[in-house]
Amino acid sequence: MSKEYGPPAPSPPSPRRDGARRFVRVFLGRWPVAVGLAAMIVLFTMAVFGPLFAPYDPYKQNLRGVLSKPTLKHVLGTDSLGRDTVSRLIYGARITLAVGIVAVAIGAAIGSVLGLIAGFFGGWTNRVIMRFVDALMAVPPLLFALVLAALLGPGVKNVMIAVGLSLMPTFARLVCGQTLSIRENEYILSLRAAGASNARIMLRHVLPNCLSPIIVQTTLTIGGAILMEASLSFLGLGISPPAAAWGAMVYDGYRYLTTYPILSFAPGLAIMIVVFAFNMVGDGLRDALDPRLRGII
Amino acid sequence: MTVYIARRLFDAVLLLLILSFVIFLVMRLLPGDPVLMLITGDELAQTSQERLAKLRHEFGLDEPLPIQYATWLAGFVRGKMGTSIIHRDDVRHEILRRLPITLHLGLAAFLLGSFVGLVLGTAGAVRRGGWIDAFVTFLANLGVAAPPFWFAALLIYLFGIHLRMLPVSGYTSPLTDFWLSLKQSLMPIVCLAVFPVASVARQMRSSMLDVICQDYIRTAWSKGLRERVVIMRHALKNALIPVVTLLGIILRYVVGGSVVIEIVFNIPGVGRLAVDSAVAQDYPVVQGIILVVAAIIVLINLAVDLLYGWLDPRIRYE
Amino acid sequence: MRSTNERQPFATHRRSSPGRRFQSLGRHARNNLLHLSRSRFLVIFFTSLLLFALCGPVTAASSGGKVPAKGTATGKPQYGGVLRIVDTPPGSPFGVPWEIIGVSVCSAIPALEPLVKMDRQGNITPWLAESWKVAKDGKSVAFNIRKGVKFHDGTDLNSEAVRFNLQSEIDAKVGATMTWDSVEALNDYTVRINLKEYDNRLFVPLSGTVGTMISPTAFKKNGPDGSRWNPVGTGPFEFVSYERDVAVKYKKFKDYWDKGKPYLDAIEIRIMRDPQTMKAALLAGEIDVFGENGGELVGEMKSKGFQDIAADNGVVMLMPDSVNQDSPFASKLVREAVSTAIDREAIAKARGFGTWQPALQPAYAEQAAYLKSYRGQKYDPAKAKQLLAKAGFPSGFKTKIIPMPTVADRDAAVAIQGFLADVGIDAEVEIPEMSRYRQYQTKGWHGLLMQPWGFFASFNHYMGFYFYGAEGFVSIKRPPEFEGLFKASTATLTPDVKKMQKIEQLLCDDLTVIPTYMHTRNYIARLNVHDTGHMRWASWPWWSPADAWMSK
Repeated sequence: MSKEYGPPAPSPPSPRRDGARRFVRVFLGRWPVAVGLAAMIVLFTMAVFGPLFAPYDPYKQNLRGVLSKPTLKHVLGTDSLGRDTVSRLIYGARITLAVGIVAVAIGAAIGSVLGLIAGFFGGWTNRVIMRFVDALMAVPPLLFALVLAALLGPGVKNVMIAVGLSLMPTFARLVCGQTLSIRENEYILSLRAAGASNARIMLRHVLPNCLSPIIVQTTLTIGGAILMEASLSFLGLGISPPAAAWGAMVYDGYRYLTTYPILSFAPGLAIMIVVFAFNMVGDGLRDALDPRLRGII
Repeated sequence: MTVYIARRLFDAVLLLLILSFVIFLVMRLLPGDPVLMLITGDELAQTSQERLAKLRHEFGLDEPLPIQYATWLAGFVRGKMGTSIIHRDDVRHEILRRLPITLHLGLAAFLLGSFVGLVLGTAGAVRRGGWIDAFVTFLANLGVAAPPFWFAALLIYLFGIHLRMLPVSGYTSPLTDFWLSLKQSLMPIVCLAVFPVASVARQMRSSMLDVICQDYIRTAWSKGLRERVVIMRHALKNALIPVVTLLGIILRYVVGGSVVIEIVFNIPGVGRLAVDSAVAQDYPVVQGIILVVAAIIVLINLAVDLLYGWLDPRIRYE
Repeated sequence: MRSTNERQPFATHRRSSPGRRFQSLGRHARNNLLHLSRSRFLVIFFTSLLLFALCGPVTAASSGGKVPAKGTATGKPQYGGVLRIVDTPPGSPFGVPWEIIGVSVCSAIPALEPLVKMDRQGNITPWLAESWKVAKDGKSVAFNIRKGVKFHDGTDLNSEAVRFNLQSEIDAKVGATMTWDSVEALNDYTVRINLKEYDNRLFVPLSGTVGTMISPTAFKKNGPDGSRWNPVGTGPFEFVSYERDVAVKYKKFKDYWDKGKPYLDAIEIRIMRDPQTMKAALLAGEIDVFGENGGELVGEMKSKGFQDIAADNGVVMLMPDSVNQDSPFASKLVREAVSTAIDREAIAKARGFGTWQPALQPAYAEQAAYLKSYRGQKYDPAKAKQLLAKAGFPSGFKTKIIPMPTVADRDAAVAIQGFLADVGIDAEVEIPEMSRYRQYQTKGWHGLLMQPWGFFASFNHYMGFYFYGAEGFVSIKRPPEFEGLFKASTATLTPDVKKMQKIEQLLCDDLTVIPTYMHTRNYIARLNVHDTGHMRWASWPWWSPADAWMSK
């Protein structure tokens, strides 16, 4: 079996039932992936239902009881404004996950559209769009996001936009590559000969075949997006108070690293777990959906 | 081959041109007035409108946008990157002064990380299922997930304050004082290297596993060749190919990561300059930095692609 | 497709133990494994050797000593030593006084000196000017320059040099010189400033950058560009070098006019951005002093054996956009409600760690205008809600709090947000970038700006600084009587306490601005650092490098 380098041809359609079973078997086959999936489920549950279980209001300040050590009443202590750390962690799951997912969604949407158009039409369209994408790719994503965030100003929306735009080129490249190879397929050519409109072909036939790589890339990128939000918050450019996003919590607690380390340690650990989970699930998805993607994503 | 290189270089220049335009547009179209940055709190009451207008004119901020772009670009091509609005010093001088520092740390981290990642990834693949593999997989996946500043804070606390083994801030060139330079740059480089080690290890392990199952490896093994020969001579080179693709991505992340590391360890590099200038909307500096950094990354990517070609003779360059 | 099970020709099933695995490999493979292990072992051995080698020189040569040296409490100043201090980084050039902006002057203090100095009580001390005389009609003031003072380049400080400096200030249209007409040198050591009208704030800028002297010879020689980062003044230390983001270095000036001083051999102003880094550097012995806004490190560092040289206060003020007709803050009742809704004690205690105080009025206790009997608004959320209802906002309203970046405490802003939320005011906290904050300041904002008002010994200057000036705080509506009272207060030959107190009372009654708490800027130093003079003069950048000394 020789190994091909370059974008793989799409896999021929397989019978649904066997495919599903095989998918699950390969996906959950490695134990880290299963652990990652479990962690993701826990996180999403925390994000959606957490507020019901949070012991305190994460925004309720108690200026008489700031920076307290862990006690039975406050399992992880309180922060510099007397707010309960555990409650903030639980609520923080929402914002952190939301920022990660929306940012990547923005990047994926814009990037995929650009890549699709560039790959499908080829020629000058391709050259112009891909030059533009390559230009953006030459800039380190954090640097790009940082410049954007500094200019747009603080706030959740701006962070999502800044991070999303800096992740867009990767998707554009990926989808373009996929589209280029799919485009040459016989059944696409026959559709064109039959007179189907470009838009219809792109949306109905090309895009679905790109979905696997897009999904895998999305999952793998969410971790990176969350880390970028955390870095932006650390630089003071991220989400504005009193939001309980984990990145912002690490930034807030950084001042007390030597005296109350748990304030930074806990959200930092939470971030690590989330990113780890998404990466594991992404790996699993890639192996299960199309292992030939291993050299590409 | 030469034609290929020439064409790639031409592409690179075109790319940088487009980038310069995009960056220029982005910086100028967003709200905020950099001249007001020059007037900090105390003096605000003392500064007159005339002085502001004078400053604005001095930096050409009152000209229409296309002219500003053309002026800036013309100067840039000639090597003049303009003057910083805030610090009034020559942008090129400042960037060139700091670039070696960031490059020193970034490249050291990149090389160290890649090498260690290679070794770990190979070890994990070769001893799959064993404790080394579990250890490597675990570390690698954690390493990719760890927030860099948090890890940095941990190291500072442990080695800098608690154990007093390493200095916690500052930078010295290795040419000036090698030992001090090593001590000061050890923690920053390690922090920067975490991500490369982790991702290279992951990818290396994965691609090594793929390669090892190939028929030609089986042939070599059945010929009775020693393990080392099999791995080094046959498997490694082929397994490296997807990893090399990854190196380009890692390079971008290392340069980006140096922004945070430079602030935590108080290193006067290009990353820190970028943050301070972006926040202050010091346009010339930000534009200069992004273009210089992009140019370097593009060049290194070109080198990586050539390496790619050497590794896999099946790839031909038209 | 490869299945996950048929991977390795060398290693065997996952299910077997390492020992069994080893045994099941052929002899060949076993030898190879050992071989590999050996080389791996060598790598580990040499790496640990290297690390050990690193540790050796580090622990032996760590500079500054591990335990902060015990300083003699009072005692004779000792000569020698290099003071490494971390302070506000120079955001802009500090070599040319008429171009220095705000606190950038901090980086030039060792080298530059002003004509006069003002202490925290407002008393003016002669410095480069030995004496002065204000004309009877208030239209001019003449200064006698101290003799025997040399600049760092060897030239003399004489009336021509002073004239040059002051004239440059006028030419650069620095705001404080607006009431100046011209400057003339009467003889070798006397300079006269002719005024358009007399303003009793005159000496305040002269004790700051406006009255700071650099050598005209050096300025002409190096040109404006060369002088920008190269202060050639009369101060106790000579400028050596400036490396951006690293340090500004000074060395002892042998011909300093105050004989016997300075005591230190050199000063290094290190530049650091993050308080954690500064703290770590101090603990590691890499620096001797650092300055920081906010009290959280003070307690911790004191317990670790360092001293706190509390340097300066600032009243953090909430500034409402009362000028806007549709703003809730146009109503005095609303402003009163806000003031009543904030628990100042709690904020001061929680964020100040013992170094902050509640602030009830704009003036400082040291200022003559301070009203000793004024009590302000007591914390009462119920009453605040009533006031809001009376003002027409029974269910509150939405607004914004905009703290000044890096200077105003973020957590304090969030705490205030919390208090306002308790009475129904939904305030968003927006921390803009500095240039956007400036825009708000100069072009107008919506909501509450939050910024510390610096300490000025002169109350008149204080008022003028924050209420007037070309571009300051445009959205605050001044009470109609303010203008008249202010003009009357600045026109007298010496400041009149009654007139100033009238202004203060007006501001308190009108709640034009809402004071919240008073923070301090603290300098945390090793115990062997003495007499830096940080608390002595009217504004904290102007410490006394000439008097500072370090004990062994």
